[in-house]
Amino acid sequence: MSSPIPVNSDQIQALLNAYEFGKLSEDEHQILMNAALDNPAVFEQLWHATRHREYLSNSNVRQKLAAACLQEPKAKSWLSSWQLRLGVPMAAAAALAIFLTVRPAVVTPIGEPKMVPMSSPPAAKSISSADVLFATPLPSTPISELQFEDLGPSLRFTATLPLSATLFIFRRLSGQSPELVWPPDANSTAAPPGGKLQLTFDKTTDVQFRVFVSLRGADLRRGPAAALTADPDLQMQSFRFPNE
Amino acid sequence: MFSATHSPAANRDELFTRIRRTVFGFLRKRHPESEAEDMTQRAILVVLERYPHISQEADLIPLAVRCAQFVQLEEMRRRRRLVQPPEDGWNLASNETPTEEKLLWNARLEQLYKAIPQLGERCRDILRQRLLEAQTEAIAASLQTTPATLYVWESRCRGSLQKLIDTRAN
Repeated sequence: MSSPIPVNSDQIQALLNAYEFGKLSEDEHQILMNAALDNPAVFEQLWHATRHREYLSNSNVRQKLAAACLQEPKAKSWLSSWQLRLGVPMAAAAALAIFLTVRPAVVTPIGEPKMVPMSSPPAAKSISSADVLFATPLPSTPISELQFEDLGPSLRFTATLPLSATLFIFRRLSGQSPELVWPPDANSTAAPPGGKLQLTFDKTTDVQFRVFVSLRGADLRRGPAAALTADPDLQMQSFRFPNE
Repeated sequence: MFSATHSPAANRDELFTRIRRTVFGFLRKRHPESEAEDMTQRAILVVLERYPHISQEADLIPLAVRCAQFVQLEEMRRRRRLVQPPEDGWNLASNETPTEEKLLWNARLEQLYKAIPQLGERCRDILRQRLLEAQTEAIAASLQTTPATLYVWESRCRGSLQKLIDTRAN
């Protein structure tokens, strides 16, 4: 058993710095390793420092990191918040495409055949027509926030709706037809009240190293015909992670 | 600067027990207990079987950390059914980085590049000076502070950076 070593937090920081840059003396190395075994917080820092050490051993990487230090922080955009949440572990999950379409709950019933998913949700084949319907994007989707959280074996999707709205969520796995995941069954309302809506997805078994997330909104307030009308000003909101 | 008290690994078994306990404690915070236990066991086995010649405590601990990181990565791949690791596992003794690991390495580095500009000005300044290999005293002087305060700041910066990386990763 090793003897307790009197090191304070300042010294630990100094040791970790030196460790990352490969500049620890043998004695200091010994002290840091002892401290890591004695103190879980130090071990955790050592865990991360071990990775940083790999990067910092490369002079090109050091130069690039130094250049990154000179960059001013960018204002967070909606896109960057997406990128923040969809990092590598998420990217290592299966290809997942989610199609959202939103309309206000008070809209006059449309009563047209392409709304079939509302009454028969899981029928993937019957949704292909809805896929066409929802292909026209809405410029400003009334979803104020979208989040993905990696929960290990599953992904949690949270949409924050400022207003009551009808929401359809489709999941499309790579190479497959879309399947309706919200509303969960034919008897459920597709119009949750404003607030947070959370759904959990199992990670799929597809072998992919990136996630493709695509959002499409169709403004049905103008009626399905209007929704299907091509509008050159409307842009498809589509993001690919990680960026290539 | 430090009063080095050597702690030779007089009892290898005891040392491994401590390493196992520490690695398990770390992994348990991030994985279900049984999974953490399994990963710890695998990491320790890798160290024992592949590196029997390494017996110094100071060498074993970073080695165990690295093995545990690889095992964790393998476990993540297995759960997500991503690319399977080679049949005989990753060759940790080789200098050649496995392709998948290289991809992840690059992705993590990319996260680092993106996270750094999000740090506060002082943190970026400290990090830049560290990268330029400035001495602690010089960095402290440039920031008109003491080395002790500098270490406190660095500790916070380290935490902020990790949080940014974790946010990006999750």
